[in-house]
Amino acid sequence: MYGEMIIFSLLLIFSSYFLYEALRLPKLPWVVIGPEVWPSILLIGIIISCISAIIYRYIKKNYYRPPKLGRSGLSRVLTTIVFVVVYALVFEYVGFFISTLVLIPTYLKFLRVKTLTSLLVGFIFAMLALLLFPVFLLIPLPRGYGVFYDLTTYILGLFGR
Amino acid sequence: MEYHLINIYQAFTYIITNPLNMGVLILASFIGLLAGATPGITSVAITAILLPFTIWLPPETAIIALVAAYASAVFGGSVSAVLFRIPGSTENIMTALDGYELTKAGKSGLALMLTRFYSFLGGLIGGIIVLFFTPILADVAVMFGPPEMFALVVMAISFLATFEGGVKAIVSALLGFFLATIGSDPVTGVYRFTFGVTILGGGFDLVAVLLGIFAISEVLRLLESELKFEVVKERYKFKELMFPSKELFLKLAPLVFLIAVPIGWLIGFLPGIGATTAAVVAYLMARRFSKNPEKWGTGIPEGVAVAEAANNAAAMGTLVPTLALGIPGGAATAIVLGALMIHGVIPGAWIFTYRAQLGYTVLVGTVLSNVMFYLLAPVVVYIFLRLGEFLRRNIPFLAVMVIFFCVFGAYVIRNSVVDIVATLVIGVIAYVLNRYKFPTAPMAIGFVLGPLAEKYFRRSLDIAFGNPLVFISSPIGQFIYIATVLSIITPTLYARFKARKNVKS
Repeated sequence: MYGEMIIFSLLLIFSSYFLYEALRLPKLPWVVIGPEVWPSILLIGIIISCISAIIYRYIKKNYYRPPKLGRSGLSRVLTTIVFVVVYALVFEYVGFFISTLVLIPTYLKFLRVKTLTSLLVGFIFAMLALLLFPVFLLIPLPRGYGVFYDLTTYILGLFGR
Repeated sequence: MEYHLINIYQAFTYIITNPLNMGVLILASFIGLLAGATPGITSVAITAILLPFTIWLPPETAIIALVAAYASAVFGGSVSAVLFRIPGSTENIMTALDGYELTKAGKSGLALMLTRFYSFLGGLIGGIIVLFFTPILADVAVMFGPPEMFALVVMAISFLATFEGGVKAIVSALLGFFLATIGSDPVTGVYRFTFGVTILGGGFDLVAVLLGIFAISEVLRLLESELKFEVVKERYKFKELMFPSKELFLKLAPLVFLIAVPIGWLIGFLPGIGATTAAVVAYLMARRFSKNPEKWGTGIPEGVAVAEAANNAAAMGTLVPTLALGIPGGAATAIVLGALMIHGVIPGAWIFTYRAQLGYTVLVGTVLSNVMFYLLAPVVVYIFLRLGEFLRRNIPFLAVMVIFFCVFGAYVIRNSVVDIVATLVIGVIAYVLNRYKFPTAPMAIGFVLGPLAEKYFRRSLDIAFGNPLVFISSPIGQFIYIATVLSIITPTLYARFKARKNVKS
């Protein structure tokens, strides 16, 4: 099975499931066009397009093959995804400052940047986040819980926030 | 007319002779430029952030500050769109397509010159139209009801057909439209496909979706390959960074003056649509009428010039319904409307008669804000140009910077981690689709146009008790549909006619 066919098949499954969900939305007698109509039209459009694309490619044997992804490239892509997931997960618990200070150097180290440079970049971005959002623009960011909260609050206090 | 000109002259002298007005104009333009160029801080965000600081100012000065910050931020957003493929503001979504491709080709200086010059030109022409015709045009805006608005959206959707990729482009656009349906139903309030996640009731935020489609997917693509890039240091003469060459200007003139500015401005001035949609429609229309639409999105100057001229013209156009009718043209003008009300000014046509000084000062200030960001932009552009060069030579730092701004930019929208996750998930989907040659620009466009299409489609049918003839019942609607059909047919017929002629000759 080729990647392109897998994508179309996944989209087909995805849109069929959401079509099922759309048809289960409450029908409201007092509205002319219910909440399920518009998404259903779109999902039926995706289903028809995917089925036609799968049939066309199957008959014509016309598949697009993307350039192969090397092992190191794949590991960088996956690490980046994991990095963002971890960043998102710890963002509120650890606070924006400490999570940036710790995670960015770790990520850069994985990308084979020198330790000292990684630490320096992490510090620059943590300070940038601190100065740009809560200090200058007055946009509140999560300070974390417990000891992280105290630490972030102390650092913000140094800048009068 | 004489009364009008006298008021314009008085407002002009009032602004330039008053140090407070000029100081605020310069400061707000500079802040707007910097904020716009910083990924994650949108034009709407910076306008909202500045609002509390303007309360102590006189009403004229306060509105000048907000409008100047907004206009500058719309331009500033194009800087990060061009250099890092992160649209600084949602209005710069189309600029990212060709601008970033030009950067990849080592022409970021050219792309930034085009964004600056055509933003200025679009904003200036848009501002001048606003200046002279606001009191008259306000009446036209109310003639556009839901069926006419839907006709406009249909017109924009029809232009999506020009994207390369066939069924892949259609699937991508439909996915964008579908993503926009997630959240609370705009008519009944029923939650759709939220799966119990409360924050998804408000749907995916446009900024989060754009960051995912453009920024995250591009970072993942960059990290696929080796981390060392050979970047040629771009060298430009001062003049090359200031103005386009005469040949380039003349080449771009028909698309900019006949399509981008009028369409951008017209859609901008329709209440409730906003500059982002205006830029999208103007870009798609210019692409449709271009001699080589297949080259759009691959890094051509036309794409950058049209997108920027349209979004800044639209930004000016959104002021018309705001000032003359009290109906905001977009999110940023809703903030301007709020500022007017804070200062005890009730918007309406009377703002140009009984409070002429206020009304005209705001309009003249709008035009001057375009001049101001044009003069201030070289500083910001130079800084970001050099930063961009450095980052492209060091991909790990570029990746970190983009991820940093995506995480913070997505989070600050609603103070929710869900938006960060949404950005990542959409980014990964866009990356995978990109690998298999699915164009992702239609997905972003679908997401912008989707809510409008559904809203006006359903409202029209509700008004007409389900009668579908409502869509073609008004002369404006009929005109738009005929124009849509013609715009689809004409280029095809013209191409056939030309091919036939070539065969004969």
